Amino acid sequence: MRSYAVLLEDVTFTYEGSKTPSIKEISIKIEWGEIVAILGGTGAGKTTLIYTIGGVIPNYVKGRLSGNVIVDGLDTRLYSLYELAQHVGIVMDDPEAHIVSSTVEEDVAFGPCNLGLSRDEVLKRVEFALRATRLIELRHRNPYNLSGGEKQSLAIAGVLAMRPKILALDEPTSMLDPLGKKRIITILRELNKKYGITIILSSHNAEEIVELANRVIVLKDGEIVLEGSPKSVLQEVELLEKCRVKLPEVTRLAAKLRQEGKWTGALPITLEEAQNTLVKLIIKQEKFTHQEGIMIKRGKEPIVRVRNLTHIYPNGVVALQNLNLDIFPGEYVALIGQNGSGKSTLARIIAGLLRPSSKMAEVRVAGIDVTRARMKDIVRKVGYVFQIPEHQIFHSIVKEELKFGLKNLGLPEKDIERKVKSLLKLLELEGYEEEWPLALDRGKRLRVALGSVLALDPEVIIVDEPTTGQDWRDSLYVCELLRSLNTRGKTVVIITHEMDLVAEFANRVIVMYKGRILLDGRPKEVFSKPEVLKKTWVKPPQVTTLFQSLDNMVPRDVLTAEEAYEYLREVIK
Amino acid sequence: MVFIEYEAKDTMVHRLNPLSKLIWFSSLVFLLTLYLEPQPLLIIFLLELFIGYLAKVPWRKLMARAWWAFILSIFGGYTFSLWVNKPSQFWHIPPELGCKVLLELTPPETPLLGYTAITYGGLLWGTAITLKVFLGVIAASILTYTIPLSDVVYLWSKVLPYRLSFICVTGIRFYPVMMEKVREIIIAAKSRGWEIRSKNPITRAKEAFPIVLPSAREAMLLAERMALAIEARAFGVKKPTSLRKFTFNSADVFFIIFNVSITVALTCMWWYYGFGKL
Amino acid sequence: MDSVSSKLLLIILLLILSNTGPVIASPFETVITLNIHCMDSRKKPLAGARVRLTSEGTIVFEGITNMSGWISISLPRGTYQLVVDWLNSTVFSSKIKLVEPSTLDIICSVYYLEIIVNTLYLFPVTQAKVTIERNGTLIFFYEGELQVPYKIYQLSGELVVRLPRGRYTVSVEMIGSERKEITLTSDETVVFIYVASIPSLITLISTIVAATSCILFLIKGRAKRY
Repeated sequence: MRSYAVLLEDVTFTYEGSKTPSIKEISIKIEWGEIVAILGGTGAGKTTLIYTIGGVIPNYVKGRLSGNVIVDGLDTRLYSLYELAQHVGIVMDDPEAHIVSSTVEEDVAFGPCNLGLSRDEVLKRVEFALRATRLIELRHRNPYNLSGGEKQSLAIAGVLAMRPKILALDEPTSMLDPLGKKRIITILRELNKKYGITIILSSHNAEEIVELANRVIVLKDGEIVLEGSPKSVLQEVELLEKCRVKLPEVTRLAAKLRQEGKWTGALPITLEEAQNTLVKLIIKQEKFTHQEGIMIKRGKEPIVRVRNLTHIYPNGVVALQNLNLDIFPGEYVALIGQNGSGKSTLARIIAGLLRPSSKMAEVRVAGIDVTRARMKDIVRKVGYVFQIPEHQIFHSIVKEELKFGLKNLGLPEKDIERKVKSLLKLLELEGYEEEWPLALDRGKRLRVALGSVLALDPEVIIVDEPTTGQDWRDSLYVCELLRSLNTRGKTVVIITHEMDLVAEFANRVIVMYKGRILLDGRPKEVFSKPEVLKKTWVKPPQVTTLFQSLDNMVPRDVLTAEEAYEYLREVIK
Repeated sequence: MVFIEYEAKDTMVHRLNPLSKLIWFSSLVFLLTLYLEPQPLLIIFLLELFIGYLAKVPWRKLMARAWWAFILSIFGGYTFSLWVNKPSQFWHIPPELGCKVLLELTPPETPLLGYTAITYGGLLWGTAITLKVFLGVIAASILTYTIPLSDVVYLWSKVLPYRLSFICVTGIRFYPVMMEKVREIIIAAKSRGWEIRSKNPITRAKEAFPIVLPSAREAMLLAERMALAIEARAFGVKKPTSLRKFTFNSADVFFIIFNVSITVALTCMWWYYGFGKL
Repeated sequence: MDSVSSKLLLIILLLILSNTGPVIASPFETVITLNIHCMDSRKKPLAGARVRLTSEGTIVFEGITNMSGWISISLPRGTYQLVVDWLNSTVFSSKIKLVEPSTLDIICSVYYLEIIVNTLYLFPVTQAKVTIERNGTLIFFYEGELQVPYKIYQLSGELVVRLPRGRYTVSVEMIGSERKEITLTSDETVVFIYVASIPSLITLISTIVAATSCILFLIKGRAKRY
């Protein structure tokens, strides 16, 4: 009988206390040496499926499991979690959840040591795991001092040291910056090619996994709706968008062109494929000259004024170096850069949540000096939405949560009720006002956190990485909402790594690098300088990179699939 | 309480056997319980700073995290010293010197407070208490900075069941992680106009409540995720292999002798000469 | 007998009586009270001092001061030699004129000798045998606990003795002994450093061991393992 790495037969699982199953009648056969990507939006059942494959369900998470789950020939119901861990290693999305020791080496050794193996055997496994995850140089480092990508690598190493033949990863790149994502993808590819490890990973972003996976399974509402090679699956653009999966921009562009009959053949899923096809399709033009975009009309007075801002953390890390910045009313600013470049530090200082270490610094928001003013005055001028919405959810029902800030400011009850009602409408949370915020899905949780800040009606809204842990649809929703607020006169600042969102929504981009501003301008200006952006590991939107690679046949500063489509429909044969 | 976490460095103190360091710590704790007068504590303080220097302790990081403990000890020590003004409280210092009033604050008839004054003996006592806290914090930090978690677990498992020692040590180690999360939650609350305004302790506790819910939730989440991670890595299945070979070399021997002999010397001085007695 | 002879007899009688010394005082002669307060060099009372008053070589009064150093004397008006002795030494001698009742404060030549016993200047000796002699005669003997007073800057085993001015031989004995000759003309401190006790030896040895092992640790600890 043929042996599969993973065999699921009609698997259904319902969490304890829930009425609806999270996964329904799932049947999957995964061959040895495959890399399988599980795509789907929030709530599709990806995590449940990964946990089921990893044996976390039913050994750790309780619920009703039916069907057969056979991993490396073992029925997961009959073996304990640690026994299964030697066949299938499970890696969660939060890199910090795995850290148990004081050094990288010890953390990796934790599993084999617990198995009571000989010291030599433990050291051999540690060596293998560190080498496979490129952590050899960092073996004596404190895990908490690693970058996000390194921490996730450590999680993989810790699991690898148990010598599983299968790795199951739950959204391993969702909390990482571009550099971290690249690192993890490279490591997974190597693990599969060099060591033959079967890899199963979940994601909501097809662009990230398209060059890695050799099979894709798409989930929606706990069921498999698509299955096949990445190339074949990504042809189903409409269905994938319904499943809240983020498609590569080049695929979306080609799908749009296909609707008009301008694109025949398979849709491209990679930049190279799109490039190869477009080169043949585009009618040769005269050498394209760059055209100026529309200038944003700026007011005379900036709403955020920063002068001589230097900030050094107590541990000696220089976060910001002599920064000067003006943000004008009505701007929608994207603050981008590698992790550690100073984006969050700058944002927090502007929001009055952090006092700058240098006495010379001047930071004024809507006329008040946020380095000296009381928080009560600051919060009416500038609101800050945290990266992890759960950190700013203080109440057990949505309505009370939205009232929290208003009560702190001592507003009358009637006004509070009125404001909350209008917020619930704006955020499409009507019907959820009596719900426990943490019982809501991630997208709604972010909306609650955003609502709690909007309740104070600040003039400037700062949102820190609104896409972390969110699927594409939720990310778009938040950015659209911010755009509508921007249209109504609010100044918006978002910190993000998603360049597609920056291209779509921002009218100003500030690129930070080592505590300084590297680039500042309109998105078209900034993304037309890829050689400068390379320093910061910021990649322009995929469509921009595509157009920049087409040798001056097309404008170099096209940012979105829509814009590209508008241009290409004129120039394609 | 962990103010600074372990960092793998190649210093003289890091290279010592963890047992040697525990002996140092134990003798320090023993001496701290003896003294109520600043003189011997200053000697111990200088010795401890020297050990910290050898261990290359990140003093700035420690101060950034532990400043509140130092402030609290200064405030607490000197506040309670206001009641150290009776002759019966001095065994070694001449009572007339110990009770020498530098500034009287409240007369004896004052209700609740009674007689409070800044006295020479009170200042000595307050300084001693403050120094004790300083010493304790610095010593504990040197220990956590130079001993990796696994070594602590290994040592504790000699007297406690392995599971229990791992859980206790991990709980201690996660204190700075948890504090970081709580700090983040407090910042988030402040960003919504929250602050503790009342001076009444009961009202203050009520006002602090919004922070309690998300902090408790974070702690539980952290514990739950960690429990899953360690269980998946065979925690508690067998007696774990120790990665390090614990040996005593000559540096360890001399370090232990140094600690034992200095403890004997200081204890003799306390016992026979009243050195450090108030 | 006629009246002239009676008068002559009376005059002769008066003359005879007036030449009688003050020893046989008539009930009609004046007695002056003098209160003497004997103190040492630090103005502390000198109890048990022998106070003697002489007149023309004859002792007219002798007494001992009380616990507070006071003594009260009643004598006729006149000039006397006042001598105060303490521990068989004259610590005060002066001519005084008794005219009217008065109080006399006298500072005697009694000084403080502070005996400090430390092992090698390092650690106090808390028990010792202390002997003080003058001209071969034992003046003072003490065997027991030495005080270790509270001091910011120094640890010492101390014994304070009051002695009259003079030359003395001070001996201290415990583990080892030491002897010193001193001339006491004011408050003095004499330090003995070659005497030891068990506690001081234990502390000294522990400190030496600590210092040595610290140095050896610093030397050995430098060698890197990896």
